[in-house]
Amino acid sequence: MNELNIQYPRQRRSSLFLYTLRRILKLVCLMALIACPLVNCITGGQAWSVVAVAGTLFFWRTFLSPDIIEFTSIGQVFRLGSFAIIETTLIGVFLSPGWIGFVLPIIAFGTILASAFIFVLNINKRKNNIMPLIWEIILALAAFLAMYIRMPKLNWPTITMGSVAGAFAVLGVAVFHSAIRQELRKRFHTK
Amino acid sequence: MRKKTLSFSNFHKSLSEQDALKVDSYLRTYREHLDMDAREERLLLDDAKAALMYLVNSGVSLDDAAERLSSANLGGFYAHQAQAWYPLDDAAKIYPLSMRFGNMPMFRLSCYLNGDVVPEILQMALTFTIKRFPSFATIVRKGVFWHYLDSVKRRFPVMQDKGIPCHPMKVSSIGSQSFKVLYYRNRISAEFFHVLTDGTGGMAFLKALVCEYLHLLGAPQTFDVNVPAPLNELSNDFERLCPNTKEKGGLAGPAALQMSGKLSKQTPCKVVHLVYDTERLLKLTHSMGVTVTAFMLSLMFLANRSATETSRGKIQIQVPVNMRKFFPQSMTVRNFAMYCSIDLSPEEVDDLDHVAAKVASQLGQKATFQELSKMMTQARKLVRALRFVPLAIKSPVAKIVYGFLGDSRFSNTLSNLGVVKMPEELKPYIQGFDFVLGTCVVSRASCSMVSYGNETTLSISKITKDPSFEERIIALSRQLGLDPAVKETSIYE
Repeated sequence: MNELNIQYPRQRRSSLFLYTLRRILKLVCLMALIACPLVNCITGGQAWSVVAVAGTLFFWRTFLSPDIIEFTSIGQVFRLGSFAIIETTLIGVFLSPGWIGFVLPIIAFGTILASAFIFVLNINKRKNNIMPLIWEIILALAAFLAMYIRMPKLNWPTITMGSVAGAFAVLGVAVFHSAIRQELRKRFHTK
Repeated sequence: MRKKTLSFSNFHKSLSEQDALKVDSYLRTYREHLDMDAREERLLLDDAKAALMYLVNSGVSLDDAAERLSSANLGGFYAHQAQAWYPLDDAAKIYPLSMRFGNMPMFRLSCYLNGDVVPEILQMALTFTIKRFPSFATIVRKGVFWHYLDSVKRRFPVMQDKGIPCHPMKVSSIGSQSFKVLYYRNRISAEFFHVLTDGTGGMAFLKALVCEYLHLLGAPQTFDVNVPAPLNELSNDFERLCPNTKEKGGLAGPAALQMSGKLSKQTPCKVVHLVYDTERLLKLTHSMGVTVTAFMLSLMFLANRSATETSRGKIQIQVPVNMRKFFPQSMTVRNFAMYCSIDLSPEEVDDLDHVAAKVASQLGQKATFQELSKMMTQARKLVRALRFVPLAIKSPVAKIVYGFLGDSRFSNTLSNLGVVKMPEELKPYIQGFDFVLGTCVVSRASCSMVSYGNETTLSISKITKDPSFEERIIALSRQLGLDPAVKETSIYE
């Protein structure tokens, strides 16, 4: 019998450092998720554990269970921006009220600018990855409109957020209308 | 890169003035077929230079080399923008929904040649072949309701085989790819993320790649990579050909008995190949009155029995069934397979003849058009019912459900790809094929089988170091006079 010559390269002993580290960190996070609310309940006072739990969940999602599909730079900026907004809101609501109306729009337009910067670094490659930027612009415009309807006298960060989102929306539709149409068709398909 | 450029410039200087002009003209035309990032274009040009140099240095005339490596083989693939996209087929939809970090459904198909692989020529063969399989030149992306395949225009590199077969690949970045072409000594392997295709589609790609590779080395042309892919090669045939039967079929069964070995941290931790003499194998199975698949399943049941210390639950082996055999009009290279489950309780697994008869009878009942079309219809209905549920909801639910219903429903898998046929003209160049299935989460061993010429290769990929499963199969085979050749990887840990 002319035997099949099956051979494999010699393997290096692989390092399990990252595997072990990930397991340890998962355990630490799980402990934190249980311990923080417990300690907070026992000691009383401000609800700092809500902020701690949100932070732990973000850490878990970003470093211990990252996206296996579409882990893109614009997507990560979107995630970081969303987390910063959620965490800031929680701090504002539970720990130190009175300033989030000023800070949140700054985070929002900062996120849009950072995403747009990454987008223009390689437009051809990122044209197929425009969706996070579209979401950011839509959410910023929606937030701007909601705030405008509630209190017509807006602070400068909110005006800047609305202007930046509006400008990018107009520019995007004017320059990339076919790419946006194609992107929406793909992203919203139900086949 | 610098070294490559220098050696090409030396090669260029060594040519006569007339030949140097021919090379310049060839490269100019080649460049005209590329409209990509500067880096990608440079890499593709370097590939062409390296292949041209290899052919000329190995005695092929410059005209012949330029003809074989003609830029016409690029078509417009590297000049057009990536616009095509494909919704996932029904079978592929579950893969991105249920996969977890470090675990993804993969499989590897390999072709063994009679000489060492020339990477420069293999790279050109891949560069030319990929345009014939546009659904493979894609990356998985997230939609609002379903994932989809988005085309990627880039150079798809061939890589030296260094790691573990079927190890999860990175599919998350913008330009990543969902398949890999690897080479090692005389072997060309293609590894696929299952979302792209099934074994039949993957084999069509590997065969085309090998035909093109051998053609570039001077063998007769047996596959024309320049003929565009027919549209029905890209279709979701679950949707197109679903029989819509009214009878209900189940998609999940009870939990199966699992082998007892400790789960490894690396997946797979070992791959074992058993190479059988097909003639002897067929003679034996004919004498037993069963098919080769039923015979192998019987060996697996017996091996499973000796690889477990528990007796709760049934031993259930998942057998994928190629639906193309029921739908000969199907030409798709996407996924088009359903599966049936062959199960026996541990008490029923006693002697080979007894087990083989039971397995053959179950296969005869379950791997039928009626049974599989029930399951196909059920899957289609499920896909339709979930089509407006956002992915953000479907994905975590699928992960939980798959955790309960997933591969814990099966003790093992056996995927038999059948007989591979290659054009007669290429037979002198080819030694054989093998097929390795990626591992699951809890099922300790996945088995796959393919035949070529007079050799049938059973490959076992494992996620436990415990060798009792394969040792039992080998021992049983030897008892039956089959005496398979055993080839295996070292243990990855």
